[in-house]
Amino acid sequence: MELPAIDICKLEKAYDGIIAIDELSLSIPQGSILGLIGPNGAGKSTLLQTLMGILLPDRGDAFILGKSILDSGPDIRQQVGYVPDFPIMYPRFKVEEMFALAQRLYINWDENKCRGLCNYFKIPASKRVRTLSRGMKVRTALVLALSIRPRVLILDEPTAGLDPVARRAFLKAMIDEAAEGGTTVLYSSHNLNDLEQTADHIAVINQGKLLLTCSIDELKNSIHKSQVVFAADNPAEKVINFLPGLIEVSKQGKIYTFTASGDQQAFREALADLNPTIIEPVNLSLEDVFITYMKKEGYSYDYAI
Amino acid sequence: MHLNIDPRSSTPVYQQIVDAVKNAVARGLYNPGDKIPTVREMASELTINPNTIAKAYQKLEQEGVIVTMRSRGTFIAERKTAPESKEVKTLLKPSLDRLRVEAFHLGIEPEELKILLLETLEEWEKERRDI
Repeated sequence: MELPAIDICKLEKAYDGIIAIDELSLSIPQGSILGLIGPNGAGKSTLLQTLMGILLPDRGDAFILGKSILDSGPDIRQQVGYVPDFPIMYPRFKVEEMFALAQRLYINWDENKCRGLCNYFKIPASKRVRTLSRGMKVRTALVLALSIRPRVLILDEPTAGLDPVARRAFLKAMIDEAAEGGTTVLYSSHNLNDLEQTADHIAVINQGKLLLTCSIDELKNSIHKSQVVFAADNPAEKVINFLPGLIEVSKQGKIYTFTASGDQQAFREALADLNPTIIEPVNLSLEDVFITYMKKEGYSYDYAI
Repeated sequence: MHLNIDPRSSTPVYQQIVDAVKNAVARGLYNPGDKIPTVREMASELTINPNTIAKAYQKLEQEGVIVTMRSRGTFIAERKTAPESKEVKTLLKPSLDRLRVEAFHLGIEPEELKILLLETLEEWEKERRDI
């Protein structure tokens, strides 16, 4: 079997006794685009920073392209492009000076690609870094990360702070990179619509723990939702609670909305016994699925005004 | 090739691509021998994960809708002329059964359904001729 691009083994990290990453294991095959999702403070950024060697893990290990992050030298940095949530660059440098510096540091630096991407992302080369907006800094950091011809890209909420046009351009650049170079991408995002179309796999983390990892199709198939109207009498609550995999029921007028996990066929069959007149499946976006999962984990906001 | 893909639908994205390509071919927008975009081009154009596109192409190839010729690209395949009875059974029969059930509940009599079906097929033929 091909070596995974990123292999995380029982990684642990705590800040002042507060656990940020809790025995997390995750393997990402080469050429895959994995979306990392989780609520604020789940440990996403800590995980990515630990992978980049910016933070040291307390226990456990992780391997990028077969090399341990504990003793990864400069050669691994040559192959990993990283865009942090707040890109750090020398504020007094001009953008073109940043690129000139990077060109000398990275052996695989692709000057043509860098120029092309600067055009594409409309990067003002002669401006000083400190005068750039957050969005422009993110674009600049991405150009840097892509121009080193990376085999692995690690992006921390890259689309936050980008306008819709730039966001689209950014996703396109990422897709092209994965499609052409077979680059493995690990990126965290709160924009689940983006993830839904660009990622092939998803990892959900909460409170430093990996809740689940699977393909997007699997995740979306794991939860289903339907609107149901019953013939004459509404079934008793007891009976409804016996529906297989039921997570949530809501009722508005005569219409019940059921959210359930697991086998959709079995659910339908059990439901058919309750004499429904209308069963209508409801499309669930990744966002809906995520919110349902988080609710199951006890993370939700219920407005009481 | 423009395909309408809705990532938020509960139909998996790869299946939507399969359906869209099959639809475009059936309507005569693409003919046997026409070249279609490569996986990379399609991924870039639609901003959709390349592995998802590859999965869709694999399925289309299995179903005989497209053929990939090494180093030359991917093309729309020649149309099948002799349908395999097994495939008719697994792919077409369930849809026909569903149609029958829906028609029954709409109060459509079998004779009316036949006429509707014929009309639909004629419309389809006309559309193909007009392209």
